[in-house]
Amino acid sequence: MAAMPAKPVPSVGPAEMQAMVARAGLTLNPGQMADLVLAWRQLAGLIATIPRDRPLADDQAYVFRLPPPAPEPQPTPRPTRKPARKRARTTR
Amino acid sequence: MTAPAPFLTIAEASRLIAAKKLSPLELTRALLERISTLDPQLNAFITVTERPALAAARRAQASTDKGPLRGIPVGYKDIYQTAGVLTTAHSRLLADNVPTEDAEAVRRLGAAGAVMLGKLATHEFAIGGPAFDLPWPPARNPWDTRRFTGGSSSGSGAAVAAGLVLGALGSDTGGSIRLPAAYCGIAGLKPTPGLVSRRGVIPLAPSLDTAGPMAWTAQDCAILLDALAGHDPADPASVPSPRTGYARAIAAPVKGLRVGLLRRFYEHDVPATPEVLRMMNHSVSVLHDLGCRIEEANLPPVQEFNAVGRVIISAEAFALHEPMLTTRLADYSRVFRMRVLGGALIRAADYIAAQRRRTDLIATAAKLFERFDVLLSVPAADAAPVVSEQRPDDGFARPFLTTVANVAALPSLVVCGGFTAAGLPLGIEIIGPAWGDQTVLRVGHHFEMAAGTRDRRPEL
Repeated sequence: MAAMPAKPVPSVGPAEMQAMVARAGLTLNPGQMADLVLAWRQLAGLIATIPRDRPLADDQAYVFRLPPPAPEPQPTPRPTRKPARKRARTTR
Repeated sequence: MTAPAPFLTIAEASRLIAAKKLSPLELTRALLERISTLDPQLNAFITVTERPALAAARRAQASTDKGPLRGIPVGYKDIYQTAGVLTTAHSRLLADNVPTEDAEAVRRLGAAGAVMLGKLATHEFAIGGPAFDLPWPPARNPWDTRRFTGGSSSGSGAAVAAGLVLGALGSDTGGSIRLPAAYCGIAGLKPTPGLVSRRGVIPLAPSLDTAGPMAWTAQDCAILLDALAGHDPADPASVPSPRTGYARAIAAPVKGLRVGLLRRFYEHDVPATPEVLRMMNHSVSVLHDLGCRIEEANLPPVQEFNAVGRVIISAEAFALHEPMLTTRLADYSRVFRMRVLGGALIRAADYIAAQRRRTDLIATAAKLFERFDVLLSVPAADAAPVVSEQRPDDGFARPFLTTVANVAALPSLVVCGGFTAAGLPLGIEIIGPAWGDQTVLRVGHHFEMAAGTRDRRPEL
């Protein structure tokens, strides 16, 4: 799969910005909206600089790391009786 | 008993307490008195816990424990939960928040005998500051109270530098331990992620957040880290790591260590002032005289690390605060809103791109440590600016040099490297490989001893 280079983030116009803000459940007054426009302009500039040229197969690196599985419980061995020692036969 | 000096290090106070030449109770009383006198001009504390502190000091006095933190007065950034003690995150939203449990790091220091003197100022939720539209004012720099402490562990930096506490806890997501350490002229360690539990620390961006110690010296940070480090299954990022005696290990010589100088970072990527450049040249010569082998090293531009860090922080912080932002927006500071609301507009694809790029940057940085034991840079391109001139869009418009170690998941220590002509402290940053916390503390300790920057204190 061909690698994807960094690309500019699609620009967001005022109407679209209003819609996205509403979709996020936010209600902003004009001053707060002006602050967000300024902040987003800078954030979008940073996003645009992030390279996207990793080969697709490398995405396996982006996973959760689980702890290793606990060892299976082993059955407790039964205590073994010592075999009775053979007594030497004595013949008289 | 000798009268407690205001500017003891943890190591010095610990030796005096062990030798019964200093009483934990007298030390605690002296610092509470100092807080009462000086904090009105510093705003380092949000809450002073006088009665519990005196009770803890009495317990420490009666204890037979010989640990180095017995009876040592400390403070906690106000995002660390403390049982029965107000924990505000410097925000109107948590103005009445009294947790029922201690953060794990607080519990560990308490178990080691440390005495909590109070809760320290921060930026709102560790990002929104310095802000002047909150119930508590921003902390002020003890070297010049018109100036910024750095943030977001602002109160921790100010309180340690002013001698109001001997040690403090901060948190670091993009530089929040190390910038205050640099601007306030103290030592601050951002440990390897997973070394210090973050359970009970109010998060900002969980994939980058770290908890760590701040103190006057690297040695004191090592003493605190000895008590803090260790696996905590309740923090999913916590890693079972071998116990290391950090304080003991820093005495080993640094002769022969390979130091990679990230000169391009502060000469080109984020150009430093002539005073910072002179301080760095001097610092390099100090390390050279200690027997370190210094060569230039290179990593991708600071701007790349910063872009990745800012996108992750904005997206994760917005996700965490979304329920409150949609219902109590006006209760947040303007600075917080400017730095976090943009996260609402970040697409999932952009967030994932930042995380994917982060794995590349982690791998690139890790490879550099095949050639070097530590890397050397600066945490800031200038001394502390005037606090009222701080811009709410900092970190977007101007990249943070410190964010490199957060994104690359590396331990990083800032110690004082020198002073400007006006007497403001300047920091150096020592970055190690993952789990190389002991090495960065060792280099920082020997540097401080050789550079002689620890004898100068702010005049208050």
